[in-house]
Amino acid sequence: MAAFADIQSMPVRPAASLAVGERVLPVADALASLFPEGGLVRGQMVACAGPAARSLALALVARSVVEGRWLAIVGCDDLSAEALVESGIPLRRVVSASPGRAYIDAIGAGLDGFEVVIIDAALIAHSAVHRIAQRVRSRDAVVIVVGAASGGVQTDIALTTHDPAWEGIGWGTGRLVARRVRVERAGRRTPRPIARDLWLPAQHSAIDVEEVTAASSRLRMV
Amino acid sequence: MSPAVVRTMTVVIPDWPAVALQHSSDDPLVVLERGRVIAASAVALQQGVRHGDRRRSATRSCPSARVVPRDVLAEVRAFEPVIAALADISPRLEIDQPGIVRFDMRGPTRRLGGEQGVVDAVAAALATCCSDQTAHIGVADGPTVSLLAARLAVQAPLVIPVGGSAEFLARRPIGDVATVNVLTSEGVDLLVRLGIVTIGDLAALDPRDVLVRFGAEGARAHRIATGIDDRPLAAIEPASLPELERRFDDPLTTVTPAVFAIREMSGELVEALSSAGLSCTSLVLSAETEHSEWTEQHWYRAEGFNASAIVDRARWQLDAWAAGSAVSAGIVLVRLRVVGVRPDVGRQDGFWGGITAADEAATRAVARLVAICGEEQVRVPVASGGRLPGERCIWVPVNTVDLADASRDELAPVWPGSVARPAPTSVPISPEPVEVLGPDGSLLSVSGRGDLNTDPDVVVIGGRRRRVVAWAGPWPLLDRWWDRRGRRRLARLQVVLDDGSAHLLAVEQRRWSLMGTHD
Repeated sequence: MAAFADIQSMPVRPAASLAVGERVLPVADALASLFPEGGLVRGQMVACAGPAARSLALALVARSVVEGRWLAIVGCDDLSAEALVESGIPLRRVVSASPGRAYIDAIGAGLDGFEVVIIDAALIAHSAVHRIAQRVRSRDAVVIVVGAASGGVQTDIALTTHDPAWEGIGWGTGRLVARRVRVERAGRRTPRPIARDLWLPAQHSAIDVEEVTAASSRLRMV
Repeated sequence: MSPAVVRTMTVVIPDWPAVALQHSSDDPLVVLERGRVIAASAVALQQGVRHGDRRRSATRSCPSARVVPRDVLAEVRAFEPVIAALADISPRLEIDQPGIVRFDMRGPTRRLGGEQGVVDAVAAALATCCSDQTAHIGVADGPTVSLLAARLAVQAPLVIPVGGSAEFLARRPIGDVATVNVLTSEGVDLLVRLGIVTIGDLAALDPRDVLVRFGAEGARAHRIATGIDDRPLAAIEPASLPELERRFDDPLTTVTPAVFAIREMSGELVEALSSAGLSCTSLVLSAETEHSEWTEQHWYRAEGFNASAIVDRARWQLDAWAAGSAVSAGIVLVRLRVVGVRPDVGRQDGFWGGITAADEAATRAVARLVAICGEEQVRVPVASGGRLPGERCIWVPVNTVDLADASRDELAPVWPGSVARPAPTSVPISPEPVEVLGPDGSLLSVSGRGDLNTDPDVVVIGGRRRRVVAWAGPWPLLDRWWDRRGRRRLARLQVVLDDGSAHLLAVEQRRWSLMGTHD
């Protein structure tokens, strides 16, 4: 009978949270230092902006999807599926929706069933930001808002990419190989801004993020 | 687990999915599942249709073929007469899937005077119910070997003597184990590459080595190869199958807590079975009230029950029962009894254990997204092929794919002629015209030999002018040159602009467009 009492005292939570109990979703090692908790915290919103926003967003979620979580992409109609693959994201747990005007409902549905949600910032009207943030907080999903228009979206963590520098391409020679980019963290939950230099994408690595170290600061052409 | 090897007869009616659906014996019917031929009628097979063919090659071999999707319900219905005919011989028939049925030989052998008597009786029974279709009969120690025997018994019933499994199997090609679902075809490929070409070669290995290298699945293949078919028939020892029940001191007046209890029990049940390498295909779910009102229902699911499938059925059954007038008191007991199992072939890995809820929740959310956004607006990526950005993987409406199908991850290698990675992260849905200008303000062009008339200096994208700081290319591409209408001749150029953005541009018939952006 003790067993049944346990069941009755069990809190009723959305289905997604029954799967995995942990509060922080892991990210690639090179990105962990950008987060105070070392990863993406459920119920929080993270903004990615700047010239490498999409690559950064995909790099952030890759590890979670690899570990079996599902990714919903809302409003990023022109996102390349091949870029998902190159970021190491298994395609079978990715769903993309183009909701048009019904985006608040669509984001709500995404938050109920998916543990990681990427939303295009251009989709969100200024007036709806607050409602969405509230819904995110009451769910166990992590939301990544991608795009430059995040001025109005007050997120828990705001990552901005700066100063992209491509390697491997010259004047009529070579090709795009790797990009060095500076990622700065700001936002409500961050006491002081910090910055990291990353390879995004890197030349070889599967997760495509690699902290710039002294040794790798200059790429050798092959 | 001590091997309880039981003389077993398996009856296989080949290509049952087609047999069940065909109108007459000369109907050229081809049954597809997930784009592959799984069964075909005799006429279609004669004309060269092979199992595993794609639709296109099947219709090429047999142009008059009627291609239909699989209809399991019709297969089950059509199989009823066969089961009825065999029920006189053995009351304990285990139906593997429509078209395959097996039973314990021990009782009928005693009754009908030897195994040959049973074989004759079965052949006679089958002749009455499906005369125009050959049924294959196999008899051996244990269900797996008897299934293999039945598959090989094309001309006449094949009876493998008691204890003769190992000898029979020794010279069979290793691929046979895949036909009876012991190993996947990938596993078989690997064995062949390791030089293990017959089942006898596998049996000669040290079982510990096989276990280490191939895991539980390989160990089971090894056991079967040595003639020990250890899977007990579900119909033989029901007592050994798990049964869970929970009693409630305080009678439950609503269904929900009972379903919660079943959720917990089914998790336990599924875990216990899967750790034994089994999955439950049929179970009896029962509940009782304080006033001894009783509900009991037999549920069957061919692909095996996972925890949430059990919970769904519990909800259906208990809701319907509680809604009826039969219930006058609270629920005091719920019980789950497994009555049918089969080896867990491992296809449902993702659906067991901790990840279950994530997959199920996502599947439900997809249905809601479709309701909100419309069918065409909810899409999933699938592997495809091509040389341009957005061709190697494409987005397709979610309703056209099986969400649980892991093969969507299997990408083809990069096609020669593609621009090497990294791929652009954004690919415009409709072509976006751009201008590429030389230092003198003239439009850049690529000659037939793939040379630029001048270096690029300025790119205008969406009305915004940016200077080029680095560029590479042009890479000419003649795509689909064999196709008069679909052929494309274009040249691609990578540019990095002064704001740090990088783009892939293409020129086709002197018009430049944006093929992708690295953002």
